[in-house]
Amino acid sequence: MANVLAFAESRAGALRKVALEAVTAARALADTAGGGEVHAIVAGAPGIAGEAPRLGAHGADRVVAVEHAAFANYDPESIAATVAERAKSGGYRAIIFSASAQGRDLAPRVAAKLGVGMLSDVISLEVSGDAIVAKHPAYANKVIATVAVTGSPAIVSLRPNAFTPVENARAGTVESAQPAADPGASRVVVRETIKGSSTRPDLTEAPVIVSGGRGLKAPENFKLVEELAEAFGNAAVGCTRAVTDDGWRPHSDQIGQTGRVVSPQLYVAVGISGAIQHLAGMRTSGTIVAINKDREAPIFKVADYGIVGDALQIVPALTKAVREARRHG
Amino acid sequence: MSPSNVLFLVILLLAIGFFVYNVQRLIAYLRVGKPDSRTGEPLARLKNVFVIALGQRKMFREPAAGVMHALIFWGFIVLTLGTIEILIEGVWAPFSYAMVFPGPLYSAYALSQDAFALLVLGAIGFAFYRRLIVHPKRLEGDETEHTDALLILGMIGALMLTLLLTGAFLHVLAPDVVPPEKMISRALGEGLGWVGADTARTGYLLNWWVHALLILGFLNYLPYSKHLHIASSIFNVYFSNTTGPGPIGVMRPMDLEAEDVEQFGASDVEHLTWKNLLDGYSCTECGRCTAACPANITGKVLSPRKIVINVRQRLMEKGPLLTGDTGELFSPTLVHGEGGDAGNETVGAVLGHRLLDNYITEEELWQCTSCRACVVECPVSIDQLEVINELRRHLVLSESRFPPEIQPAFESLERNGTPWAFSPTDRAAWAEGLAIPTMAEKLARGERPDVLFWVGCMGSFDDRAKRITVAFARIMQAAGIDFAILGQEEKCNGDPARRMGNEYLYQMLARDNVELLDRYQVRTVVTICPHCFHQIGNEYPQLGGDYEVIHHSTYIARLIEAGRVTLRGADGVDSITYHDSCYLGRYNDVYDAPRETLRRALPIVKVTEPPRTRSRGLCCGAGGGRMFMEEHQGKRINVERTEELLATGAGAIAVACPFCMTMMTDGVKAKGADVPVLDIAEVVEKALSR
Repeated sequence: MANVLAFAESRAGALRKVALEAVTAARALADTAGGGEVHAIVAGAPGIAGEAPRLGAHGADRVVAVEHAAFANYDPESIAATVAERAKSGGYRAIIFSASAQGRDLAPRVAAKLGVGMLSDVISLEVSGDAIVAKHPAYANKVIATVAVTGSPAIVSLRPNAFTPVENARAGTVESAQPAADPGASRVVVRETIKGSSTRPDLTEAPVIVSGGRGLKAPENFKLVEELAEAFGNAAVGCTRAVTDDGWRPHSDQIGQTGRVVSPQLYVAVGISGAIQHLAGMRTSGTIVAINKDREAPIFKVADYGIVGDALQIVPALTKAVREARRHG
Repeated sequence: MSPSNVLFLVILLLAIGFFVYNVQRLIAYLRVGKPDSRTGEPLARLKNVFVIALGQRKMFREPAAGVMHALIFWGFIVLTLGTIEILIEGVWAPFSYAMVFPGPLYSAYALSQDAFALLVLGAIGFAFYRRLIVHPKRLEGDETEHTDALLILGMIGALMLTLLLTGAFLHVLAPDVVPPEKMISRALGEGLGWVGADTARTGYLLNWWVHALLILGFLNYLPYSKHLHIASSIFNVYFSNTTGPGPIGVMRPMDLEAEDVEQFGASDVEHLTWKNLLDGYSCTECGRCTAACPANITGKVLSPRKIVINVRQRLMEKGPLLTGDTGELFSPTLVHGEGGDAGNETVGAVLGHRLLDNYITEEELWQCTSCRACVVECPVSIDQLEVINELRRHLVLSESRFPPEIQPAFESLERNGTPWAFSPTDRAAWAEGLAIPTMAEKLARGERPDVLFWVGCMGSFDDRAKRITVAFARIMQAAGIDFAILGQEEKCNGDPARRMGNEYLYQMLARDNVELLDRYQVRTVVTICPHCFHQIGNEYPQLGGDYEVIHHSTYIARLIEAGRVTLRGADGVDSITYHDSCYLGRYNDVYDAPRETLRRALPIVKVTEPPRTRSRGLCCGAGGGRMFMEEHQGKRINVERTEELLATGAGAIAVACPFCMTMMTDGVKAKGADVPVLDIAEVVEKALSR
């Protein structure tokens, strides 16, 4: 029997999608390792325990809810201490995080506190004898490294979107716990949170990204891109450097060398020629669809599907088709 | 000796003594800086002094102000001869050069004194007109010293007037004494003929004394003024490397292995070299550098002039403390731990801040495109860029402070050997089907090609730039050149890392490349990228790599000249304009080869020039690692430049650098214009007759 602990990431009192990914992966790991329990630990402001049923639904046998007013914001020091404390007492085989911004900060802290090895940015996870074997991309996604850890617990961070949340209902018994270190003594003070402009999914997490370039001709035409993203339901909106330079979109939306580096399952490039600056930020996306009026545009070299034509006509048609497909889907 | 002679002698000795005191104080401050050998190749340095300092060549880059300054400067040199005469006369009244100079020489001397006094007066009048009426933009901003400037101009004007009036009153007193060549003094004297002898004597003595005292006052005012440049500039030009000796524009070598070094780059004046500090003494705040700066032109905070002023300000603040110069005469509070609490407070404040952050901000430093326009423009050979580069090095190497968006570039340079996250295995993908051998393949066959074609990262990975690469390869094939590429073994030359302050990463890449090139015993390298060209040719020698490196503009020009390729002339455009690349032009003086190539390839096409061209060409905005940074402030540099190029009305824009290509192409798109941007290799390749 090997229990697995999953860190369920939350923001503003609600679970994030990556929390369900972590629990799903933990469930699968526990099952293949001989059917241990999955414990999900969630830290948040009072009330976060209310999210326990969703963790149970995705395979958590037990939910450890650590509620503290100071956890309204992510507090690295205290949460890391709490997770490490729990790990020491729980005898876990593995502790699963997401390789999100929070997880990338937290997982190494916990690994260091426990003095154990860690697997980061993992895209697949299995058990092989004594070892936990993980795959993770390296060298700009050119190779997939296979890494095994034998120590216990193994600290694992999962690449967002690499694991799809699967429902697998378990008890999800809630157990409340106290922070292992006083959050009030934390050296990190959150003074202000500045939100990006978009209410859509975060660019680095969204499974689908619809991105617009200067080929859209005018800032108001960006609404076509937004409508297409809307039609997908789970899509984020990105853009090129040229577009942010011209002030059509905020810098937080920029994808590329000097912006965000993304790797969604589906990337739709609208009116983007595919300058090296942009390609550097999205080349590793799963499926790339390009719409551009210039058939010589470099974007078509990396695209899986290409449409040569005027984006202003094609995008509305595509939006309509996506809506239809989802209605019938 | 009369009492007045004695009095003058005392004043003279005091004045000289005080000047010497200040000079040794300023030299002591210079010693705060790090050593830097600037004595090699004295002939090249003397030539610079003759051409740039004495010949005032760079001053004439702005004609009106240039003539004005040159007249004052040359006037100064000529009149200094007269000043010596006057000073000797003050101690020993009967003295005159007439006693030592042969007749004709004395006549020439006498004529020159009056003539230059008048010319300088005219120039001073023009200077006042500019400062008070015209207000040229470049003289504003950066807390420049306007009062100082007006005071100095006033002093010089007064010196000229008193000089002429001394002669004039003397002519009234004794018409035979003033030589006939001093026509202006005599003419003025004729005009004053109505005054009595007593008034004339008083007028003479008054003007003589005012003139002599002004000279001594002026001399001692200099060390407290930006006009210190009068004393320091000639030395500054002599010790400068901005126009040679040695390759120009190279960054200072850095020994990362040295165990006793605790400071990489510079955060304060003592980390700069004495020459950087002398640059501070030599700046008279003319603003020509700032007026040429692409960042400043487009509304950003960076001003190269401010960088130099800041170095001087900080040195004046910290120098006394570092040299143990108690400065009792002027700032008794600046004492080492003595002088009471006030002293300690001041000392604490001085030590509590530094050149970086308190004077020069991070924001300014990262706005620099390293285009060298400031350095090229400076009439006294100040190197503003070296200070910027050293401060960037400190930011990155010592404090790990840099714009977050360059992190991916650093990371990828380290992992993939290119600033973009592309795999080294794709580096030679452009060459597929072109039958271009790699060095490794050549070596396996026991062959050594004549030429290595160094492609560069843009030419290897950027789709647009790959077309330049292919075009150039085809030209070489058409000319029957025996060449090879490195293929997957090539790595970034390191220029972006070095210019962004990451010397460690730079040396890692550069050492790998040197080792590789040496292993293949490479002698001649051609490249389509001016950054590779400059780096491998001019900066790799620091790491022991010595190769003949030729940029493709020069190489193609030579092929055409030698008849190795024949051109049939291209059609399409009827006029083309050429955009100068900084690393080709200002760093390597290659201005003619690309233009000549265009003319040969397009014989009936008109090559137009934008107003800012050749050594004054405006940067595209991508240099100094700016390609990998965001442009947060002001107008975009590439748009500014594209507008200038489009305004020539040319049907196409020619470039000779893949970075310029990206920036100009983006600029043309941003302007919604329909003008193709072509590399010179593409122009030539299209015109090949085959």
